[in-house]
Amino acid sequence: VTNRLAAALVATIAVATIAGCRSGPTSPSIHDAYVIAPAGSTATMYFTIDNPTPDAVSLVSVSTPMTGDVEMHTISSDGGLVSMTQVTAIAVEPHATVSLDPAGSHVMLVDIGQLTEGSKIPTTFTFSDGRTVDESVVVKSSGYVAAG
Amino acid sequence: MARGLGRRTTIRALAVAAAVALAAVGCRSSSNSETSAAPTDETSLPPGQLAGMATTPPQAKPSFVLTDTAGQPYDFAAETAGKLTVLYFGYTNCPDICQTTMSQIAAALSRDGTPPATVVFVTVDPARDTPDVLRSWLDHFDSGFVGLTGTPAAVGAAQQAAKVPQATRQPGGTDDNYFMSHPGAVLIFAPDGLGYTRYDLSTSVSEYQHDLGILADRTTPA
Repeated sequence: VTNRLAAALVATIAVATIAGCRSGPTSPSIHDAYVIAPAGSTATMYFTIDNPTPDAVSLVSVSTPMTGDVEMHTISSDGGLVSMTQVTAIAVEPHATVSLDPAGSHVMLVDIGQLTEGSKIPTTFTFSDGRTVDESVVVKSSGYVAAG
Repeated sequence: MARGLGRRTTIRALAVAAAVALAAVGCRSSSNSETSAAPTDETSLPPGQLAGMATTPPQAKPSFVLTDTAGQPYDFAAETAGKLTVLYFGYTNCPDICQTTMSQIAAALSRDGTPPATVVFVTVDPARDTPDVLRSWLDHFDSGFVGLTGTPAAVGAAQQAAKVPQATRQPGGTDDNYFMSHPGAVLIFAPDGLGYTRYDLSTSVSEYQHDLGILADRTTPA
C-alpha cells in the first residue's frame, strides 16, 4: 500500500510540474519594447526584461542592422547634476523583472537618423547565457511620453 | 504497521511540501509582469498645494543675455517678464533625460486647461548645439520653445544666475561624441517673477500641468 501511495504521489507531482509550468516561459524574455524617435540623430529604446528562471541572467548586448553603435546606459544624479554611464550588462535576478523606462536606464541607438512613427526596428537581445531573443520593436514619436 | 504509517505520513508531508514549493517557486513567473506600479493620471494633492520641490525662500528670476535660435540676443528677464516661464539647461545629444523632460513639458502644455508658458531651453553644449541644431531639435516638441546658446562663459554665467550647478563634460568620448553632466532641475517661474518650486526627472506630466495651473495665478510680486 505504502509503495503504491508513494508512486501515486510521485506521479501527481510530476503531472503538476508539467501542467503547472510547461505553459510559462522558461527563458528570459523581452516585453513592451519601443523606440522613441530621435529629436536629434540618436534614438532610445525601452523594454521590460522578464527572467522566469531560477538563475540570474544579464542582458549583455542589443543589436540592430540599422546602426552599428548600440549602447546600454544607466543614469545617475549627483549634487544636482545628471549623467549617463555606459554599462556592459543589465542584470536580472532569478524570478525577477527589470524595466527600462524614459529618464532611466535605456538602450541608445546612436546616429540611427530619423525614424518614422509606427515603423519597426528589427532587434536582437543577447543574454549572458548565450540565449538570444529577436523582437520587432515599434517606433513612437519623438515627443512620446508614457501615461501620467 | 506503525512503521508503515509513519512512512506514509512522511511521504504525504513531503508531497505537500513539494507541491507548495512548486507553487511558490516553479510557477511564479506569471505574476512578475504585474508588479510594476500603475501610472497615476491625476495628482492627489490638497487644493492649491504644489507638487514640485519647494524653493525656500522663493528664487528670484535670473538675469542673463544669450543668443536665440534666430541669432538674436535674448534678455531672459526682460523677454519673460510677467509670464509663466519654464527654464531648463540641457543639450541635444541627450536622447533620454533631456528629450524626456522636454516631451513631458510639451505634453503638459498641450493638455486641455493648462495655461500657456514660455519655455526656454539653454544648451550647456554650445560647441555642438548651434542655433540651427537647437531649433531643429526643439521643433520636435514645440516650435514655440525658445532655444538659447552662447559662449561657454555666457552659458556658465546663466547657470550661476539660475542657481543650478555648472554642467561639465563627462570623461571619455571624442570631440564629436561625448556626454555632459548637466543640471537635472527644471525651474518654473510664476508671472510674479518668483520660482517657488523646482522639478526633475521624477515629475509626471500631470504634476507639471497641476503646478503650472496654480503658478499661473501668482501674478502679483510678493
